[in-house]
Amino acid sequence: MNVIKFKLFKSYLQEEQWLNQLSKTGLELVKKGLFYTFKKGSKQPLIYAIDYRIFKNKADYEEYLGLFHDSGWKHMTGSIRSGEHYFTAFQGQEKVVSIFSDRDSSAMRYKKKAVNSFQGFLTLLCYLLVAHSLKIIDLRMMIQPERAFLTPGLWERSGEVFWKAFYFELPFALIFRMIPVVLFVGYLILLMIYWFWSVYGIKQEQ
Amino acid sequence: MNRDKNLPLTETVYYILLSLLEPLHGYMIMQKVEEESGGQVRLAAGTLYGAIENLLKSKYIQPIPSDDKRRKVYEITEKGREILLMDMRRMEHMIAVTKQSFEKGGEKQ
Repeated sequence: MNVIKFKLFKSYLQEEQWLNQLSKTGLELVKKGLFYTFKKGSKQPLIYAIDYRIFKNKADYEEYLGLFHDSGWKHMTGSIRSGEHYFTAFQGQEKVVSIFSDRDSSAMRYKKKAVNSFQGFLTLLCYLLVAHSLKIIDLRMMIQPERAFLTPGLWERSGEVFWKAFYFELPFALIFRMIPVVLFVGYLILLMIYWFWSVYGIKQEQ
Repeated sequence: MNRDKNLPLTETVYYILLSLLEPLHGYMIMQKVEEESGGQVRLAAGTLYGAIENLLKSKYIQPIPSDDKRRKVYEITEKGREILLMDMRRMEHMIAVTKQSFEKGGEKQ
């Protein structure tokens, strides 16, 4: 039976240590999404290493996995666009203790993650700016939600006529106008957390 | 004199370029670097993968066709040779000037 856990970490180093500890109780990572999924295995201690990388194509990804395999690392979980990749050292490989042999490359994983989340933020920002200039989105609706509706004279109507028009436009208002703005604010907060997290993580590496 | 902004190369990058004077795939690069550095530079997988990515971007190395999908083969480019030689000369100068200074002071290395 699988064991599911949820936990947040200040750095990859801490996360690795947590996983190392859990392996001693017989828990082996099989999947990482929002939650960690473990299977019960032998109580042999494992050494985890986390890398962060997003691949443009399958060939690059295959090569990456091949290189780690050749140098003694088993890929536990991760996918071509997942970002995080979890590896454990093959048994009896005393030579390999880390997937990084210098501090720069080990700090790079934090920078890459911060840059990637920033790109997502920029994409959203571009959409909002274009939509704002085309008058599809009125940014003032963060304070006045009624501005997400564009039907002329909607708020002067009443009764059934109002509700019909309201429900007709609601999906459009939500999907194209409200959600992007909410996402944008959420993203900003997330981005700030990421940045603090990266700075802390990089400091830990040094 | 304006010198190339990529100089000096890091020890990792220097040894990778040196190893790629002959075509090699990732794991062979690791082995050759360890051997040529007398066991002093042991490249880890994540570090090597990142370094290869950067070297490809700066066009110091290029992939060459190979049958094994999981093991891409790389070799140094003309541009890569140039930077490697420039860095060698930079180090030669440092060594020469260091020796001179020690000799002037009457010390022996």
